[in-house]
Amino acid sequence: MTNKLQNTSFYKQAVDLLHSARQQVVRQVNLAMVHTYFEIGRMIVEEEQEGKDRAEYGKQLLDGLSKALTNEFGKGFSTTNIQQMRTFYLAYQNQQTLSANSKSAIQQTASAGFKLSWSHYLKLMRIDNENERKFYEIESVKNNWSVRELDRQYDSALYTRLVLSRDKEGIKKLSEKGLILEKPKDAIKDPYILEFIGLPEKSSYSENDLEQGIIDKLEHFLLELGTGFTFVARQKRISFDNKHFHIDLVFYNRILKCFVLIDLKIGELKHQDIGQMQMYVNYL
Amino acid sequence: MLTTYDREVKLEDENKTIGIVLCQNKSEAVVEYTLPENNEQIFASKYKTVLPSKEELKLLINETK
Repeated sequence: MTNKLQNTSFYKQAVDLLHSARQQVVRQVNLAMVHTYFEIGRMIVEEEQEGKDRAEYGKQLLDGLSKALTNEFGKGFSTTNIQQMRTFYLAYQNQQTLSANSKSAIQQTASAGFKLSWSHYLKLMRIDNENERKFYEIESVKNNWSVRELDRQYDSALYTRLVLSRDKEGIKKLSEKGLILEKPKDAIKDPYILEFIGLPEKSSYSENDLEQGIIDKLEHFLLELGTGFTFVARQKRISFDNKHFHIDLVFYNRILKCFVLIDLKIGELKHQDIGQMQMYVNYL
Repeated sequence: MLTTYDREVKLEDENKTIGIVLCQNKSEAVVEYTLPENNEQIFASKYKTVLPSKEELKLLINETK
């Protein structure tokens, strides 16, 4: 029996090693592609500058390159794709040159660090505001967001919501370091966007429905809460003086190292709601 | 002060518990006058069940300027 168990873990170890090796290969391939597309973008922009006196030159250049690359490599090099490489270079050239002055372009971009997949950059390069773009890029890397998660965070206007509750200094920090949790306030958003539950805006629902919706989509809710949150309990009962109270949702934040209690209130907030929360917080 | 959740109650080296009241709507005045001045533990945030539209975003951004 013991032998069998040991064997299972022995096989599993080998399987895990291979999985992580494959992931590494995929990541390396992705990064090499991103760096290469950036370089092709640079080539195009530099070539265009050479022929700037001819208005049609840019268009011809992209079409020609698309044909040549398609002949050589097959699919994936439509004029639109080539155009995206150009846009990518234009969006990221400043960020890259700030990091190094070396003439060796490939080395420079490699060390300047693109860390995400091409699909991530396709999304990021469409964000015009440079500070906003940097914020989403840093957070994608830090939180290991998939493209879908990045899409969702962008669509929910995460950056704008965080900007709303910050001063100039705080906003600057967002685009330089992403979201850093130093004090409780840093972890709070206003508003929270709960579109993933699928409750229409004007429909009537109970606090219970809302809570159940959150529990059913806990993964989405954790993404919305942000870095460091883990789920602890729902309807947590606390008692004193023979009275029982139920806290709707309890989370823990690993970075802030504290419990985070959430109470759901449908309708207008009353001062009693805040008072009740104060009692819970003091209790825990 | 007995509770069945003793083990989940804050440990000594953990920080103070935070509370968020998630509400559909709120008046800033109610929040401001209910909470003590140096409050760092209690927060009242609104929630929305739909993604913000482009127009809403523009409004939000303009408010901050």
